[in-house]
Amino acid sequence: MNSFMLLQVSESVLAKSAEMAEKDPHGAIITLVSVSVVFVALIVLYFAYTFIGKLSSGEIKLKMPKKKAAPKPATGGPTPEEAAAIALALDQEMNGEVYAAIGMALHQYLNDTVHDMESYIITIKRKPSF
Amino acid sequence: MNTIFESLQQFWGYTGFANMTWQHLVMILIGIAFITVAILKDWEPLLLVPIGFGMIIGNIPFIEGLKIGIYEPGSVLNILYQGVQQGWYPPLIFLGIGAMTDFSALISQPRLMLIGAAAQIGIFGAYVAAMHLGFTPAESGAIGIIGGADGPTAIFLSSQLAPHLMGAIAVSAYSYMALVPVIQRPIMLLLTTDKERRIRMKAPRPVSQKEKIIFPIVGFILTAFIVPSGMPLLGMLFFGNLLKESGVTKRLAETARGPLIDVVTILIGVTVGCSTQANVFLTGNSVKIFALGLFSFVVATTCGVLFVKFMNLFCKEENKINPLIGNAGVSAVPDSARVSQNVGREFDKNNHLLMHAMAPNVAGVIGSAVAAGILLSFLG
Repeated sequence: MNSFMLLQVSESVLAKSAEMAEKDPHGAIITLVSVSVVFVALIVLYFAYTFIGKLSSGEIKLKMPKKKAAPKPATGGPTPEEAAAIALALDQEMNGEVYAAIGMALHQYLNDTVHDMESYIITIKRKPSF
Repeated sequence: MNTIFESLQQFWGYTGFANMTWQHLVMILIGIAFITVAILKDWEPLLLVPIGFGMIIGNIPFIEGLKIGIYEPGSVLNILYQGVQQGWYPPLIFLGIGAMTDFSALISQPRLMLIGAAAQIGIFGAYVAAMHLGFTPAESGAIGIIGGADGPTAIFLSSQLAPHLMGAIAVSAYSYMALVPVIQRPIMLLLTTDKERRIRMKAPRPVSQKEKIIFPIVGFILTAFIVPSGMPLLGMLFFGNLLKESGVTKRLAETARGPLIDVVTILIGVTVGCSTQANVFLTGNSVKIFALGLFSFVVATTCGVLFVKFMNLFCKEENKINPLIGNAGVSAVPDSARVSQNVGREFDKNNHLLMHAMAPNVAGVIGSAVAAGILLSFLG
């Protein structure tokens, strides 16, 4: 094997080069196209980074879609108005036993599912409903 | 007695002295000159020392067939040379460059990116000139890329388009990169007025970490979609930068910009130096390539400086750009940016242009990789 075979140009390069020599003997077309593409590539980057920069510095603010209202509970669940009415009625009727029952139920639920250790102290603060 | 004499004669036939030609001697002297300049003048020592010593290795005369030459398949040097020939080393160097480059200057002033594009005209100026000097389009493309002032890109493209000219192209590219201060300064002074050289540019705005992380991802996707053939270089450049900026891959970034780039630089330098064997290198074409390389650097610097002056026509007074940073568009990171700084301080001691010049400088790296991709898609 000739040592200098390693320096040979591939067939496809030779073919493309010959084609280009025929089509563009002075190199003007390839120059024009290539310079334009280099400029286009860097102009695209220029616009992209200008936009990102303005976004980052707060000059431009993207309009974020507003948060959708919470979906209605599944069929059969109370509407906010109904929930308010129920809370009001409970508030009037409930005594200490009801609170204790709610506290016990919550304790058992949390003890079984979420927490490993519980303090066994649950505080229920009365809040005016709406 | 006769046998001893014959053995000695046979051994003499294998020695470098018996096989030496004046061309080998010239190349060895050039190698020594490279090492001397690198050590005494501190011109690109990390490249010129390995290349210079590689030249000496590659030009020790020998008889072919011993599997020792760089062009002999299976030899150690030939195996190491595959990284150059098949184009593995340049993308790895780009990975390291990406991991060590801070693109903040460019991100904060994206308009300076256009200077990096203008300076690439040098590549195509040399392409046209090479065509007129009788080179084929593929050879002209490989020669033109010297104007990109980017050694790995020059090696990558010439390995694909004109492997027989790669030694001359690589040595020419690295030599002119080392000579950037000598070549660029007179052109910069010739094309600018005293008033222009004293322009003070606005300090760039601070860049957030988020922007630095977005930069390589967006940059790669956009440029690779425009020029997919530049993907090996652009991909590794931007990937290296992402490793640096992501903040969670510190070890990988340190490897890329440290041991990895050092190993590949040693291998690429020595093997490119070795590839300049006298019988391949010392030809009329090499002289032409050196002349065209110089021409491409001159055109690139001129276009960079003139383009800044053109941009200034559309800029408000407070946004004017100092044309002394135009030369930095030719890449040659960070030497050409240092030239901007030094020349700028000659006229105004308190005018520090380095930070501004780094923007077109790194844009030049992207621009030259894009230009190489375009040439490869046309001619490869």
